[in-house]
Amino acid sequence: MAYALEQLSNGLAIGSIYALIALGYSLVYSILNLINFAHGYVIMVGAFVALSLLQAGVPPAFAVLLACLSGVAIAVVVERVAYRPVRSSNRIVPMISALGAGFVLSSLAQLIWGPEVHPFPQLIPRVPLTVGALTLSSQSVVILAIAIGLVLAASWFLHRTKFGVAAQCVRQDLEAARLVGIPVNAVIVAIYALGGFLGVAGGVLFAMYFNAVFIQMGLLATTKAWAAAMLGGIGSFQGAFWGGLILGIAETGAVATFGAAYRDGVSLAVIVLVLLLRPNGLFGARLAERS
Amino acid sequence: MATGPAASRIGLLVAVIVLALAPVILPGRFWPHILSITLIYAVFALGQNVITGWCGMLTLGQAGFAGVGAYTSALLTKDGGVPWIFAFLAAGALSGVAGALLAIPCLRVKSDFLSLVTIAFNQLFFVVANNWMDLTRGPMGITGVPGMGLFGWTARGPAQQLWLMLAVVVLLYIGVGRLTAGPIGRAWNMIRDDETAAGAVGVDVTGYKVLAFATGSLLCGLGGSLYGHYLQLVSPDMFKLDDSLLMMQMAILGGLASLPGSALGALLMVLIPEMLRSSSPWLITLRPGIAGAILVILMIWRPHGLLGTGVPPQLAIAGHALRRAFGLKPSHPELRS
Repeated sequence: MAYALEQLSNGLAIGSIYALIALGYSLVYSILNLINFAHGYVIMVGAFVALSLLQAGVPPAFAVLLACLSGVAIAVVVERVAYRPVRSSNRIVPMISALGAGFVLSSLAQLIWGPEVHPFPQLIPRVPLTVGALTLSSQSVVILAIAIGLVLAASWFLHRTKFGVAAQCVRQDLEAARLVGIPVNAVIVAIYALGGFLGVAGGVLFAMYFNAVFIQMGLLATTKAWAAAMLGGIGSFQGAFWGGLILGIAETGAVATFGAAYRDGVSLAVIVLVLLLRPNGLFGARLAERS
Repeated sequence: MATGPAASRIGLLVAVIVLALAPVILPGRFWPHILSITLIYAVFALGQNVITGWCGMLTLGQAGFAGVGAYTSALLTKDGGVPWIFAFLAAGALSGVAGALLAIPCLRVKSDFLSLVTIAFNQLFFVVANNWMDLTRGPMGITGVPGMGLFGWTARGPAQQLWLMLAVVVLLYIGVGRLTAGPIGRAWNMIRDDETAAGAVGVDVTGYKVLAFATGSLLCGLGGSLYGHYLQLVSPDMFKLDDSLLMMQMAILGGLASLPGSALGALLMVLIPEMLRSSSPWLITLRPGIAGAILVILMIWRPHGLLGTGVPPQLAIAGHALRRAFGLKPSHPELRS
């Protein structure tokens, strides 16, 4: 029982990281119906930026903040260069363009940081916390707290501010939003920026949790984000959050049962199962469009 | 640029003659090898193009289907003693069925989901090929795969292999050419251009999408068989996600929904890295990035790729510049909804 609860806390920690990564991804999908392949690569570059800043001796909190801002900058540039010019094209066109942008980011990162796996400094100490009969990792607890704090902040921003209302309008009907004078382009850029910020925060926590930063993290993060978003219901803010948590718990359970080799298989299985059984996700906030 | 049936026939004939003479004219093993690899990738690019170009669905896991074909063919010939031609056909059939099985659940919803599910399929294929030791021999792969041959004759040496593969590839290209020019191809194009309209006039959208995906996967399975028997080796490393992305780049770069485009894309993506390999190693690191940048640029200005359907490239570029100058609508209206 205690073991199961400890695994649950690990699962919640990694799940909250997936939730952070999935939020930006799901937001972009909900507005533009675009599978944002570049999202994972933006996160990967952000994690590398954090690593370089930390190695250069920048204070940790400041370094992570700067890395998140670099994520914002990259996401905005990618939107401007690779997405906006093709926004009104056949839906396959922006997807290919997004993949192309991802390749560019991945190659640049490989040129700068090399193809090897880099260890990531442990900013949050890993000490065992004993609560009654339970032994929890302090890192898991802190990661969970940070992630939930960020999600709550983003939720407030999207649901309680004027910007949030504008974003909801754009999401419901882009053309109508433009007609009533909402600066659609600015809102879309802001959504990308928010996604980049949250994503890189998730990416840094991910790097810390697994003590590794590597190029392939880009596609890995996209797959996890997609699995989490689909699980909760693609395009829904809450769905992405709960989907991330459930995915994290499922992965931790799979690792505890079958071994670490199957960690990444879980997200793939989740994608296929959700498609087969519940294309709208567990919470079905928004219907997946049937063909 | 082939503009009509006659021109495309002449173009095909010239390409076949040049390729057939290549091993005779060019001494050594290097060029026949490069051209053989190009021919194999031309089949992969064709399979990708049936799905992405003609039917408008993004698949990113075609190497997985090529792998299914390659393993089927290698195991049937090596362990089962089946003649190559039957193993080759079985490889295509199994990959096609696998494609249909994967596509049916995905295509019930919007085909966006296909791109991620195919990535998942490719990763899954790699894990299985790497770990199912009894069947696939694990990471070392299957060595000593028998060579290709027909009716007791076996292709020996680079020239004979190239000629046999050339014949197969030409047949496949002609077959796909006929298929896409007929009613099935028109249904695929209509689904690509406007799914709702296609459904409204009675086209079985899901059925044709599954058919396109199965056809593309079948072609990749056939290509995988060629690949394994040509190298006389089949290993999980040959069918990674990177290879799928390469196939996707070939189809788009060469030209969506274009037969010569598929071959041209394969040639460019095989030839250019080979030529750069010795002189500038750092360019190899950047290769995916350069290809990515080209993809973004193509999507913005020429979403059909270099030789895509529509007007010839020179005219399209000139026409685009003119339309820009006069503030008219962009070219390729069918891709700009």
